Amino acid sequence: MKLETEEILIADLQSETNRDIAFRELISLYKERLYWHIRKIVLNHDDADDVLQNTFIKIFRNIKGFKGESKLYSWMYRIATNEAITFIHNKAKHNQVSSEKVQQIAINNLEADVYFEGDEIQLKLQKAIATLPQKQQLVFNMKYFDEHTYEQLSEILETSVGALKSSYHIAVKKITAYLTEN
Amino acid sequence: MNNKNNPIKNAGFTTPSSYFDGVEEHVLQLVKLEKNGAKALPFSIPNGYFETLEGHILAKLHPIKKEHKLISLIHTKAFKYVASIAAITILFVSIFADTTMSMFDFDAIEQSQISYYVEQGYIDVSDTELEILISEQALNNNLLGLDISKEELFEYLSNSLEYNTLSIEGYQP
Repeated sequence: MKLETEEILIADLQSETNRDIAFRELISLYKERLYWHIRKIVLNHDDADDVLQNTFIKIFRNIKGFKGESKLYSWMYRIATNEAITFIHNKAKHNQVSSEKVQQIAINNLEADVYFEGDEIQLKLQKAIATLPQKQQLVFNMKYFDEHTYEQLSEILETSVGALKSSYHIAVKKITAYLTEN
Repeated sequence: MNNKNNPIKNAGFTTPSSYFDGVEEHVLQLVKLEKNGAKALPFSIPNGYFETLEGHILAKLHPIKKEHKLISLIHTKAFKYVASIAAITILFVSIFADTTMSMFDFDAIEQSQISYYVEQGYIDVSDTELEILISEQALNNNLLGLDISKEELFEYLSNSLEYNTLSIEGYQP
Protein backbone atom coordinates (compact mmCIF):
# COMPACT_ATOMS: atom_id res chain seq x y z
CA MET A 1 0.00 0.00 0.00
CA LYS A 2 1.27 3.48 -0.84
CA LEU A 3 2.34 5.59 2.12
CA GLU A 4 -0.21 8.29 1.30
CA THR A 5 -3.07 5.80 0.98
CA GLU A 6 -2.03 4.18 4.26
CA GLU A 7 -1.97 7.55 6.03
CA ILE A 8 -5.48 8.36 4.79
CA LEU A 9 -6.75 4.95 5.88
CA ILE A 10 -5.20 5.34 9.36
CA ALA A 11 -6.71 8.84 9.70
CA ASP A 12 -10.13 7.46 8.74
CA LEU A 13 -9.76 4.54 11.16
CA GLN A 14 -8.97 6.98 13.95
CA SER A 15 -11.85 9.33 13.11
CA GLU A 16 -15.36 8.94 14.47
CA THR A 17 -17.19 9.49 11.20
CA ASN A 18 -15.41 7.27 8.65
CA ARG A 19 -14.30 4.59 11.09
CA ASP A 20 -16.62 1.75 10.09
CA ILE A 21 -16.16 2.19 6.33
CA ALA A 22 -12.38 2.40 6.74
CA PHE A 23 -12.37 -0.66 8.98
CA ARG A 24 -14.32 -2.68 6.43
CA GLU A 25 -11.74 -1.63 3.83
CA LEU A 26 -8.90 -2.61 6.17
CA ILE A 27 -10.40 -6.09 6.69
CA SER A 28 -10.80 -6.53 2.91
CA LEU A 29 -7.19 -5.54 2.33
CA TYR A 30 -5.55 -7.71 4.95
CA LYS A 31 -7.93 -10.59 5.74
CA GLU A 32 -6.27 -13.15 3.49
CA ARG A 33 -2.67 -12.33 4.37
CA LEU A 34 -3.38 -12.33 8.10
CA TYR A 35 -5.53 -15.45 7.84
CA TRP A 36 -2.78 -17.51 6.19
CA HIS A 37 -0.21 -16.17 8.63
CA ILE A 38 -2.39 -17.30 11.56
CA ARG A 39 -3.39 -20.57 9.90
CA LYS A 40 0.25 -21.62 9.63
CA ILE A 41 0.61 -21.13 13.39
CA VAL A 42 -2.62 -22.74 14.64
CA LEU A 43 -3.08 -25.15 11.66
CA ASN A 44 -6.83 -25.70 12.05
CA HIS A 45 -9.36 -23.55 10.12
CA ASP A 46 -11.82 -23.01 13.00
CA ASP A 47 -9.02 -21.89 15.32
CA ALA A 48 -7.57 -19.65 12.60
CA ASP A 49 -11.01 -18.08 12.09
CA ASP A 50 -11.36 -17.38 15.85
CA VAL A 51 -7.89 -15.86 16.05
CA LEU A 52 -8.38 -13.78 12.88
CA GLN A 53 -11.65 -12.30 14.16
CA ASN A 54 -10.05 -11.52 17.54
CA THR A 55 -7.09 -9.96 15.75
CA PHE A 56 -9.31 -7.57 13.80
CA ILE A 57 -11.33 -6.73 16.90
CA LYS A 58 -8.09 -5.91 18.77
CA ILE A 59 -6.92 -3.83 15.79
CA PHE A 60 -10.22 -1.90 15.83
CA ARG A 61 -10.03 -1.29 19.57
CA ASN A 62 -6.35 -0.27 19.57
CA ILE A 63 -6.08 1.70 16.32
CA LYS A 64 -6.40 5.03 18.14
CA GLY A 65 -3.16 4.25 19.97
CA PHE A 66 -1.31 3.58 16.72
CA LYS A 67 1.08 6.50 16.18
CA GLY A 68 2.71 5.27 12.99
CA GLU A 69 6.06 4.39 14.57
CA SER A 70 6.03 1.22 12.47
CA LYS A 71 4.16 0.33 9.27
CA LEU A 72 0.48 -0.46 9.73
CA TYR A 73 1.09 -3.84 8.08
CA SER A 74 3.89 -4.76 10.56
CA TRP A 75 1.77 -3.58 13.49
CA MET A 76 -1.15 -5.79 12.43
CA TYR A 77 1.12 -8.78 11.81
CA ARG A 78 2.50 -8.39 15.33
CA ILE A 79 -1.00 -8.36 16.80
CA ALA A 80 -1.95 -11.43 14.72
CA THR A 81 1.21 -13.26 15.85
CA ASN A 82 0.57 -12.38 19.50
CA GLU A 83 -3.06 -13.45 19.25
CA ALA A 84 -2.17 -16.80 17.62
CA ILE A 85 0.51 -17.63 20.18
CA THR A 86 -1.71 -16.53 23.07
CA PHE A 87 -4.46 -18.75 21.63
CA ILE A 88 -2.15 -21.80 21.72
CA HIS A 89 -0.99 -20.95 25.27
CA ASN A 90 -4.58 -20.56 26.46
CA LYS A 91 -5.59 -23.85 24.84
CA ALA A 92 -2.64 -25.55 26.55
CA LYS A 93 -3.59 -24.01 29.89
CA HIS A 94 -7.21 -25.06 29.47
CA ASN A 95 -6.27 -28.66 28.65
CA GLN A 96 -3.47 -28.67 31.24
CA VAL A 97 -0.81 -29.66 28.71
CA SER A 98 2.21 -27.87 27.22
CA SER A 99 1.97 -25.61 24.14
CA GLU A 100 4.18 -28.10 22.26
CA LYS A 101 1.64 -30.84 23.03
CA VAL A 102 -1.18 -28.65 21.65
CA GLN A 103 0.76 -28.23 18.40
CA GLN A 104 1.55 -31.94 18.28
CA ILE A 105 -2.16 -32.73 18.60
CA ALA A 106 -2.96 -30.22 15.82
CA ILE A 107 -0.38 -31.87 13.55
CA ASN A 108 -1.76 -35.34 14.30
CA ASN A 109 -5.26 -34.12 13.43
CA LEU A 110 -4.16 -32.74 10.05
CA GLU A 111 -4.60 -36.01 8.16
CA ALA A 112 -8.25 -36.22 9.18
CA ASP A 113 -8.88 -32.48 8.60
CA VAL A 114 -11.23 -31.82 5.67
CA TYR A 115 -9.46 -28.53 5.09
CA PHE A 116 -6.04 -30.11 4.72
CA GLU A 117 -5.29 -31.10 1.17
CA GLY A 118 -1.59 -31.83 1.46
CA ASP A 119 0.19 -34.90 0.14
CA GLU A 120 2.73 -36.98 2.03
CA ILE A 121 5.65 -34.60 1.54
CA GLN A 122 3.58 -31.56 2.57
CA LEU A 123 2.42 -33.34 5.70
CA LYS A 124 6.01 -34.31 6.48
CA LEU A 125 7.12 -30.70 6.08
CA GLN A 126 4.39 -29.54 8.50
CA LYS A 127 5.52 -32.20 10.98
CA ALA A 128 9.11 -31.05 10.61
CA ILE A 129 8.12 -27.40 11.20
CA ALA A 130 6.20 -28.42 14.33
CA THR A 131 9.42 -29.79 15.87
CA LEU A 132 10.99 -26.29 15.81
CA PRO A 133 10.81 -23.84 18.71
CA GLN A 134 8.01 -21.25 18.29
CA LYS A 135 10.24 -18.39 17.14
CA GLN A 136 12.02 -20.55 14.53
CA GLN A 137 8.64 -21.78 13.26
CA LEU A 138 7.55 -18.16 12.76
CA VAL A 139 10.77 -17.20 10.99
CA PHE A 140 10.70 -20.28 8.74
CA ASN A 141 7.03 -19.92 7.80
CA MET A 142 7.27 -16.20 7.10
CA LYS A 143 10.48 -16.54 5.10
CA TYR A 144 9.83 -19.79 3.26
CA PHE A 145 6.10 -19.64 2.50
CA ASP A 146 5.35 -15.90 2.64
CA GLU A 147 8.71 -14.86 1.20
CA HIS A 148 9.05 -11.86 3.52
CA THR A 149 12.39 -10.07 3.35
CA TYR A 150 14.61 -10.18 6.43
CA GLU A 151 14.02 -6.43 6.83
CA GLN A 152 10.24 -6.95 6.94
CA LEU A 153 10.67 -9.84 9.38
CA SER A 154 12.94 -7.70 11.51
CA GLU A 155 10.22 -5.04 11.87
CA ILE A 156 7.45 -7.54 12.55
CA LEU A 157 9.30 -9.77 15.00
CA GLU A 158 11.43 -6.99 16.54
CA THR A 159 14.58 -9.03 16.00
CA SER A 160 17.83 -8.04 14.27
CA VAL A 161 18.39 -9.16 10.66
CA GLY A 162 21.49 -11.09 11.75
CA ALA A 163 19.59 -13.03 14.41
CA LEU A 164 16.80 -13.80 11.90
CA LYS A 165 19.25 -15.12 9.30
CA SER A 166 20.83 -17.32 11.92
CA SER A 167 17.41 -18.50 13.11
CA TYR A 168 16.31 -19.35 9.54
CA HIS A 169 19.56 -21.18 8.86
CA ILE A 170 19.14 -23.31 12.01
CA ALA A 171 15.48 -23.98 11.12
CA VAL A 172 16.39 -25.18 7.60
CA LYS A 173 19.13 -27.39 9.05
CA LYS A 174 16.70 -29.00 11.53
CA ILE A 175 14.02 -29.49 8.88
CA THR A 176 16.53 -31.08 6.52
CA ALA A 177 17.67 -33.43 9.28
CA TYR A 178 14.04 -34.36 10.09
CA LEU A 179 13.16 -35.03 6.45
CA THR A 180 16.30 -37.10 5.91
CA GLU A 181 15.64 -39.21 9.01
CA ASN A 182 11.93 -39.68 8.30
CA MET B 1 42.34 -24.47 0.13
CA ASN B 2 44.98 -21.79 -0.42
CA ASN B 3 44.32 -18.10 -0.81
CA LYS B 4 44.91 -18.14 -4.61
CA ASN B 5 41.91 -20.40 -5.13
CA ASN B 6 39.92 -18.76 -2.41
CA PRO B 7 40.33 -15.03 -2.93
CA ILE B 8 37.48 -14.13 -0.59
CA LYS B 9 38.91 -12.98 2.68
CA ASN B 10 36.86 -13.53 5.76
CA ALA B 11 37.47 -9.95 7.05
CA GLY B 12 37.15 -11.19 10.58
CA PHE B 13 33.70 -12.78 10.13
CA THR B 14 33.03 -16.36 11.17
CA THR B 15 30.30 -18.91 10.42
CA PRO B 16 28.76 -21.65 12.58
CA SER B 17 31.00 -24.74 12.66
CA SER B 18 30.69 -26.94 9.52
CA TYR B 19 28.30 -24.39 7.99
CA PHE B 20 29.60 -24.84 4.43
CA ASP B 21 29.50 -28.66 4.70
CA GLY B 22 25.71 -28.76 4.74
CA VAL B 23 24.82 -25.84 2.45
CA GLU B 24 24.40 -27.90 -0.76
CA GLU B 25 22.22 -30.45 1.01
CA HIS B 26 20.01 -27.77 2.62
CA VAL B 27 19.53 -25.87 -0.61
CA LEU B 28 18.84 -29.05 -2.60
CA GLN B 29 16.35 -30.20 0.04
CA LEU B 30 14.47 -26.89 -0.25
CA VAL B 31 14.55 -27.10 -4.07
CA LYS B 32 13.27 -30.68 -3.87
CA LEU B 33 10.46 -29.57 -1.57
CA GLU B 34 9.51 -26.82 -4.00
CA LYS B 35 9.57 -29.22 -6.96
CA ASN B 36 7.29 -31.58 -5.04
CA GLY B 37 4.87 -28.77 -4.46
CA ALA B 38 5.52 -28.55 -0.71
CA LYS B 39 5.91 -24.81 -0.91
CA ALA B 40 2.27 -24.46 -1.85
CA LEU B 41 0.31 -24.33 1.37
CA PRO B 42 -1.67 -27.55 1.82
CA PHE B 43 -4.51 -25.88 3.72
CA SER B 44 -7.90 -24.99 2.34
CA ILE B 45 -10.89 -22.99 3.63
CA PRO B 46 -14.69 -23.39 3.52
CA ASN B 47 -16.35 -22.00 0.37
CA GLY B 48 -17.14 -18.29 0.56
CA TYR B 49 -15.31 -17.87 3.88
CA PHE B 50 -13.57 -14.61 3.00
CA GLU B 51 -16.71 -13.12 1.38
CA THR B 52 -18.65 -13.09 4.65
CA LEU B 53 -15.79 -12.32 7.02
CA GLU B 54 -16.21 -8.51 7.19
CA GLY B 55 -19.88 -8.93 8.12
CA HIS B 56 -19.08 -11.37 10.95
CA ILE B 57 -16.38 -9.15 12.46
CA LEU B 58 -18.46 -5.97 12.24
CA ALA B 59 -21.42 -7.80 13.80
CA LYS B 60 -19.20 -8.76 16.73
CA LEU B 61 -18.08 -5.16 17.15
CA HIS B 62 -21.54 -3.63 16.90
CA PRO B 63 -24.08 -6.19 18.16
CA ILE B 64 -27.68 -5.18 17.46
CA LYS B 65 -29.19 -3.97 20.69
CA LYS B 66 -32.82 -4.92 21.28
CA GLU B 67 -34.79 -2.20 23.00
CA HIS B 68 -36.58 -3.42 26.10
CA LYS B 69 -39.40 -1.45 27.67
CA LEU B 70 -38.76 -0.92 31.35
CA ILE B 71 -41.70 -1.29 33.70
CA SER B 72 -41.20 0.66 36.90
CA LEU B 73 -41.75 -1.45 40.00
CA ILE B 74 -41.69 1.55 42.30
CA HIS B 75 -44.38 4.19 42.44
CA THR B 76 -42.38 7.40 41.89
CA LYS B 77 -44.37 9.68 44.24
CA ALA B 78 -44.36 7.24 47.16
CA PHE B 79 -40.69 6.48 46.57
CA LYS B 80 -39.79 10.20 46.90
CA TYR B 81 -41.45 10.38 50.36
CA VAL B 82 -39.81 7.16 51.63
CA ALA B 83 -36.37 8.23 50.32
CA SER B 84 -36.64 11.67 52.00
CA ILE B 85 -37.59 10.14 55.37
CA ALA B 86 -34.74 7.61 55.15
CA ALA B 87 -32.20 10.32 54.30
CA ILE B 88 -33.27 12.51 57.27
CA THR B 89 -33.09 9.50 59.64
CA ILE B 90 -29.56 8.62 58.50
CA LEU B 91 -28.46 12.25 58.93
CA PHE B 92 -29.80 12.39 62.53
CA VAL B 93 -28.22 9.08 63.45
CA SER B 94 -24.82 10.08 62.03
CA ILE B 95 -24.80 13.45 63.90
CA PHE B 96 -26.17 12.52 67.31
CA ALA B 97 -25.64 8.82 67.83
CA ASP B 98 -22.48 7.45 69.43
CA THR B 99 -20.98 10.82 70.45
CA THR B 100 -18.83 8.97 72.93
CA MET B 101 -16.84 7.27 70.15
CA SER B 102 -13.14 7.74 70.81
CA MET B 103 -11.20 10.24 68.71
CA PHE B 104 -8.63 9.09 66.18
CA ASP B 105 -5.31 8.50 67.94
CA PHE B 106 -2.15 8.37 65.79
CA ASP B 107 -0.15 6.74 68.60
CA ALA B 108 -2.56 3.81 68.64
CA ILE B 109 -1.45 2.75 65.14
CA GLU B 110 1.28 0.18 65.20
CA GLN B 111 4.54 0.77 63.34
CA SER B 112 4.02 -2.40 61.28
CA GLN B 113 0.64 -1.11 60.06
CA ILE B 114 2.24 2.15 58.89
CA SER B 115 5.03 0.22 57.15
CA TYR B 116 2.47 -2.01 55.41
CA TYR B 117 0.49 1.05 54.28
CA VAL B 118 3.59 2.65 52.78
CA GLU B 119 4.81 -0.60 51.18
CA GLN B 120 1.47 -1.13 49.48
CA GLY B 121 1.86 2.27 47.80
CA TYR B 122 -1.18 3.86 49.47
CA ILE B 123 0.88 6.91 50.37
CA ASP B 124 1.83 9.29 47.60
CA VAL B 125 4.97 11.21 48.48
CA SER B 126 6.48 13.53 45.88
CA ASP B 127 10.23 13.90 45.33
CA THR B 128 10.14 17.39 46.85
CA GLU B 129 8.42 16.10 49.99
CA LEU B 130 11.01 13.33 50.27
CA GLU B 131 13.76 15.87 49.87
CA ILE B 132 12.39 17.86 52.81
CA LEU B 133 11.97 14.71 54.93
CA ILE B 134 15.46 13.42 54.33
CA SER B 135 18.00 16.18 54.41
CA GLU B 136 21.03 16.10 52.16
CA GLN B 137 23.22 15.95 55.25
CA ALA B 138 21.54 12.76 56.39
CA LEU B 139 22.00 11.18 52.97
CA ASN B 140 25.67 12.07 52.83
CA ASN B 141 26.48 10.75 56.27
CA ASN B 142 24.38 7.72 56.84
CA LEU B 143 21.12 6.86 55.07
CA LEU B 144 18.56 6.34 57.83
CA GLY B 145 21.14 4.65 60.02
CA LEU B 146 22.15 2.12 57.33
CA ASP B 147 25.72 1.95 56.21
CA ILE B 148 25.51 0.77 52.58
CA SER B 149 28.62 0.29 50.51
CA LYS B 150 28.70 0.91 46.74
CA GLU B 151 29.22 -2.83 46.14
CA GLU B 152 26.18 -3.76 48.22
CA LEU B 153 24.06 -1.16 46.43
CA PHE B 154 25.20 -2.45 43.01
CA GLU B 155 24.46 -6.04 44.00
CA TYR B 156 21.00 -5.06 45.24
CA LEU B 157 20.18 -3.16 42.04
CA SER B 158 21.51 -6.01 39.84
CA ASN B 159 19.33 -8.51 41.66
CA SER B 160 16.17 -6.49 41.86
CA LEU B 161 15.88 -4.54 38.59
CA GLU B 162 13.69 -6.14 35.93
CA TYR B 163 14.04 -5.89 32.17
CA ASN B 164 11.18 -4.20 30.37
CA THR B 165 9.40 -6.42 27.88
CA LEU B 166 8.74 -5.16 24.38
CA SER B 167 5.21 -4.11 23.65
CA ILE B 168 3.19 -3.25 20.57
CA GLU B 169 2.63 0.45 20.07
CA GLY B 170 -0.73 1.51 21.48
CA TYR B 171 -1.86 -2.10 21.87
CA GLN B 172 -3.52 -3.51 24.94
CA PRO B 173 -4.32 -7.23 24.78
